[in-house]
Amino acid sequence: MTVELRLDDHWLAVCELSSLVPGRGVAALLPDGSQVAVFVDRAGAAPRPCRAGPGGSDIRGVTVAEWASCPLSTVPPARERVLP
Amino acid sequence: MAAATPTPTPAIVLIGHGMVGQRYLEALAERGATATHRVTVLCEEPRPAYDRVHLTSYFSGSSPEDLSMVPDGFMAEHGIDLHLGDPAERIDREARTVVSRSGRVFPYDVLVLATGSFPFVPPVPGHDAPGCFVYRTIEDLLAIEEYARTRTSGAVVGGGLLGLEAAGALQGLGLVTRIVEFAPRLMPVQIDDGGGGALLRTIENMGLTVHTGVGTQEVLTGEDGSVTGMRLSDGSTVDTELVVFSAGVRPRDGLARDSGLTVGERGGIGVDARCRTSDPRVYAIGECALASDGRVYGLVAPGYEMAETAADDLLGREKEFTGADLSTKLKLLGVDVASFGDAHGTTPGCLDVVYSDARSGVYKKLVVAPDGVLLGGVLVGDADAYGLLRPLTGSVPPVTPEQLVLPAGAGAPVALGPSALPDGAVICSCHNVTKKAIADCADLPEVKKCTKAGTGCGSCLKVIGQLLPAAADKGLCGCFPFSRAELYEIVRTRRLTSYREILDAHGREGARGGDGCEVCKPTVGSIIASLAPTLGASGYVLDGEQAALQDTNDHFLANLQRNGSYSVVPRIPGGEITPDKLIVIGEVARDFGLYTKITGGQRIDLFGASVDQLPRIWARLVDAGFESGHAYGKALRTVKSCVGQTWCRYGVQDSVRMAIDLELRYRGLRAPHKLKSAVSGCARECAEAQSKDFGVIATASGWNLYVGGNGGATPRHADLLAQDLSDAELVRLIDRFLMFYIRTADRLERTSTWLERLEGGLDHLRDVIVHDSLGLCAELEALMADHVAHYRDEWAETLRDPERLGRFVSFVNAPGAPDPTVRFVPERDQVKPDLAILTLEPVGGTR
Repeated sequence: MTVELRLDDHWLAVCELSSLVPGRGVAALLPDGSQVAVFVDRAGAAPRPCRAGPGGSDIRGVTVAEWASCPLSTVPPARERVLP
Repeated sequence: MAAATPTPTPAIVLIGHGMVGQRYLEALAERGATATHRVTVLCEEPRPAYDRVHLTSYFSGSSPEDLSMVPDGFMAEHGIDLHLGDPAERIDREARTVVSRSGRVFPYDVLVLATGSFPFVPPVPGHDAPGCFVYRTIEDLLAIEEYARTRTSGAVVGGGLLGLEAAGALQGLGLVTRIVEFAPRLMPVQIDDGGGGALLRTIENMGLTVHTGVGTQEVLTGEDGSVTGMRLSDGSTVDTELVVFSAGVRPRDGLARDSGLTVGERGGIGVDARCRTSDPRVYAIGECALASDGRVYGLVAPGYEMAETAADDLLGREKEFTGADLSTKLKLLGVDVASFGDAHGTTPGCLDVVYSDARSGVYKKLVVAPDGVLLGGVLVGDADAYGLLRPLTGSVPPVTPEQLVLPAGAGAPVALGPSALPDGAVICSCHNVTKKAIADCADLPEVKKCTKAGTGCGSCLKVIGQLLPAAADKGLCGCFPFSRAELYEIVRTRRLTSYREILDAHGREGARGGDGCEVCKPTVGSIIASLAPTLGASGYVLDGEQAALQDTNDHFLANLQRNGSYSVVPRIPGGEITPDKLIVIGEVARDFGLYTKITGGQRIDLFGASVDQLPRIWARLVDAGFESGHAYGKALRTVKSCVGQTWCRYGVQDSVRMAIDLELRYRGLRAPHKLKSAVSGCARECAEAQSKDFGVIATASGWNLYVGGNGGATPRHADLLAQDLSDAELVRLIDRFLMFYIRTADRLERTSTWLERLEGGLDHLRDVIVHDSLGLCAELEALMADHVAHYRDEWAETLRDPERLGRFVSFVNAPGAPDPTVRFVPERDQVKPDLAILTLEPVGGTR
């Protein structure tokens, strides 16, 4: 299963669901150069509650969050403000 | 017979529903007055009373609801009529009525003014331009947050308590932040020059710019009228897009003034010791009141006491408010700051006892009378002692003043415990609660419910915890009811290697089947890694389910730095390195553009690697014979050494060889916290072994073993465990020591704190691992033997597996694409992180 992000006018393939480690976030690069974090929970597909994705993005099967709004341990505090 | 005319229920109108107003309502309820009075509250803000002291926590995730001071159902339960967003506009004292903004008229028998204060905004040109804010209410914070979304810089006018809070909030919002303080030091009211200096250094090290001794002359604006900068009183200008005024507060006494109540020359509604104004039917409490000692108190604790006083007086009870303790303890910008009693030493004949460590930003001053009575003090950088020192104020402490300010290990005895305090010592100054009142409670919830201690500023919570009986629930976190040591035993005896299995079988009821949390995941990951060889599990920390448990550093086998790059630290056992290996490190650093620095642990740190570069860097290093230095892990870091007997004229043993042997033996050993060691070749101690978790010092006939040492923020000299050991005896004792520590320590507990916590202390430790009093030693040695036999270098393992290498990308959907926000600028012929890009430049046009 491929994880995809819905952007304004199309779906962007991010990665295979199997490549996500439950409980950890990975970063994905969007076409406009901005970044989002993608998570998968223990169940492997159910979204975890988190603030809404940027720009009205939607997602199939996982949770997406802005760097700025999500307590992501892989990102130092300074970087969490890169993309408000 | 005519029916008796019912006695009308007397009406209380409270104007203002801040923290003090709410405390007044609670005081009425506690005294039964809400049952005998009709209580009406007029509140200007759109929400009930909230915790203004912790306002800044909104920016760290607290919601306005989290900050609420009003228990659910409180108003309904006590029949209180609360009007939100409808402030009082006029008081008619003759008619005994209050008219609200909506035009409603509220008759009163008793009127209580708790109108608080308003922020003082200096009337400089531009002070009301778009981009200028104050920092007082949740609405202020929401407005600042919204405006900051499209700005990159901010300034705070005022370096007092609230100013520093505001500066921390701006920095947290990603703004390049500066503070402008008119006085020559920060927090001029609370702390002295020495404390201000320590605070200044620490805050500047955090990246904030501080201007002291200058005022704001003008707020500069651009063509659209919004803020672009400030002109200061020294003639300089600074760029800023947002200004927060935090230059003090003024009592809100306008309503009282207009109604003819007596008001102080410099503001504040005059009250007597019973908090009555010049009209005996009208009380004033909190920041709006000018107390009978001629002061306006801007802290919450005096406000609470005034609320209690006014409530008591209403019911004819004897209570007076004649002044208050202005002790303060706060964490500002992550720095602990506290002042208490006569902090500025104004008492005639008083003497200062000062400890100052500019390196670590710690400053402690106690003010004592010639007869030894503690009068007050200032604590900056380390205010742990505040909870004990403040209650001791006014008495002669049981130990000398210098012992109260010196850090552990610098000549001070074991820290003074709360048992040294008298029963009458006030532990919670917000609610004036004594040690005895707290000690009579069973647990913290009972303390809070019965005494309200700990519900104000929170600075007393640590001491309260020490006064209460040991908590029944020693669980690691909300997921597990067990301590780390208990979890270790569960994993070891049941031979569990799956976090999910452990959580589902041994987690708390509500946590089973869940994802766990950031406390228990790395803890369990560390336990499994420590026991992996014995359990027959893979020792590779990123295998399968283990990968999800690791901290960020472990996840990438490197140390995350400020700008999102990583540092690389190859192991250099004992600090000994060949010229060829030195050249390889130099070549790798040069080829990848890395910043290099010699570490305190006698190795070389390479900074500035991107995630994508890590495998290529390590391929070169592993090829040259280097291994992971585990600088990223809660594991053995280094074993330092002096050159020892081989070169040094004073050396009596080969300290380098011993250091190398120890480092290679314990490399990769996962522990509750990092482990450091050193070996000195003689008693001159050039390797500083007594500051290490386990340190070895050569003697003419062998080795002395020291344990439990620590540098860092709380230095501690190690304790001598055993003397004149042979090589084999030394290694055997260290094996046992480390495995006993790993088995019994708490999460993130260094050996120094573990040893101090260990019941029986050093003597017990010696009994266990030297005399085998618990019969554990064979098992401990076997565990270590398993570790040594199964050690594998994590980076060599990683490089052998393409799947494992696949995780080393900045973006999962764009392998090979570097993170554009990780940039560098030159400094002293090397590079340093370009932090400006993280706060100044928009990325991808999303701002």
